Amino acid sequence: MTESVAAIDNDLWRPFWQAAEERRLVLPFCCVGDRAFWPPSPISPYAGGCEVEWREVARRGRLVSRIVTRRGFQQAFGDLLPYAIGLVELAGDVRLCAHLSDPEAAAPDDIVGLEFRVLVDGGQSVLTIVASD
Amino acid sequence: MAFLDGRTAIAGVGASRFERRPQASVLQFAATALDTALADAGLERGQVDGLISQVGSPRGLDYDTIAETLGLTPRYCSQTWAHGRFAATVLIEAAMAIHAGLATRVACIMAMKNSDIGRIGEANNPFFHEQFRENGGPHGEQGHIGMASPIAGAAMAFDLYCRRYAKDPDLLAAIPLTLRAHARLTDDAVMHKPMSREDYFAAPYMIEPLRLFDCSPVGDGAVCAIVTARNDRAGEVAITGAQGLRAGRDTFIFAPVGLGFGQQSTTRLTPEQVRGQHVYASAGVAPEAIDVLGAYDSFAPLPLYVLEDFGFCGAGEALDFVQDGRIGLNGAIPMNTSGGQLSQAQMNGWGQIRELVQQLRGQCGARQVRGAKRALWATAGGDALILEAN
Repeated sequence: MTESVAAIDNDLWRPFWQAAEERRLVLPFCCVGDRAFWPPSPISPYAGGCEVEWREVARRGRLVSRIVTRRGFQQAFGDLLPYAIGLVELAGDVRLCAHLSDPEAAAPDDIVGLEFRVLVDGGQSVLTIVASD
Repeated sequence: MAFLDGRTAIAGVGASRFERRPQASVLQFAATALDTALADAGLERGQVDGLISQVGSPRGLDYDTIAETLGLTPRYCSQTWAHGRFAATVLIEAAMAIHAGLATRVACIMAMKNSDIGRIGEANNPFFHEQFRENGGPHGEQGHIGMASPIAGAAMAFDLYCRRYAKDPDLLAAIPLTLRAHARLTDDAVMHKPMSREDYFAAPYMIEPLRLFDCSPVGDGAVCAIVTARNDRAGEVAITGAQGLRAGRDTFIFAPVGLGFGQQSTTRLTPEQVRGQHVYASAGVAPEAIDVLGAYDSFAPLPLYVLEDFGFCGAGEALDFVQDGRIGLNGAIPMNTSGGQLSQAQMNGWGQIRELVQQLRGQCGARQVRGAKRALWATAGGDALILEAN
């Protein structure tokens, strides 16, 4: 059986992962109204929207949900159990899921930071939550 | 209201045994379901001229294999995405095909064998790496951050729900406990053992806040429903109301409208929108007229959203509503009376369709809802059917 922890990386997603290599977080914006959106789209999902532009945003937001994985579904993440997945609301109301290695390190409503880190052997840098100072 | 005003009917239902047995053939399940449904409808295979398959390969059977192997010669065939939900959508399509003159007797078959390929979302499943669907899996899967199971999406939506309404997640226990009690009265339920509150809370978390018994077990089996024009034959159950699936930026498969995760508005349906939905308008009834409910329940929180988005209680009230027997057999709205997917079997909602037909016929023995004349089947995704006794 195969298992992979690779993320989708294609023409649409490349700006996100290229920025991630530099530890920067970028989001797609609709040029009408300067609104960020998620997930990435080749066209703006907003009515009357037009071109899409990737822009860097602050790696900081409010944790709005936290779930704790206690059963292993992926061999590659087995050694990390238990771990959490958090939903982080960024400026502009975009909400992104990110990995939280220590479930107790941050709680919902906390303002948290986001960093790109390699979690598993052979994996790429992915979005992770770090407790804010 | 057009053709779904009772002019088509479910004429027969049938099912295989529900089990978890990798050595069984999914074709055996399908043949049993088809033959029992045809016998129930008083029809023979040669009279079937329409075929819609709900789950294709790799989890289930494609329409061409079903027809070739089981000796059907339909002139109208169709098939949906190999996923849950879609039960109402398939039955609506069958009714439309009949109305359009494309078929007269449509066999709607859901046949699948999940145990072949492991639990959906496990990364050792080579056919169903849903995490690799572009822009995320249908249940929010993102395997690269360790979020590969559908349970994660259901857990996150439930966590958001509990935080928004300041509810204790442990109130959820009422749903699996009630459905297990219903399954105890259901001969073909996979999960038939008694389950106490202590058993429920002693079981481990899978992905907190969801515990083991908040997740439906893997199911193998098949269910068939035969849709025909309404002939006022005994045993027919008329399709009197329907609506399709929603999609868009305010929806998520495991959440009520406006409470998914990702970038969505947080605006719930208003009470007027809830009561004015097409499924009620087409049947000419309100939620109070429903006697028995089938709510899609792959995970325990999902029926909460059905209860709210279909008007059995207000937004944020469902965790309180499901307490004190209100969804039990003698409750305000008996729900998933054969045990649902959480205890009878994970059959993509088709076990519930069969149960509702049998409830409306008065065939359910110890779990019969007295005087059941009108049933609703619905998912948090919005697809729904109203069925009425002939």
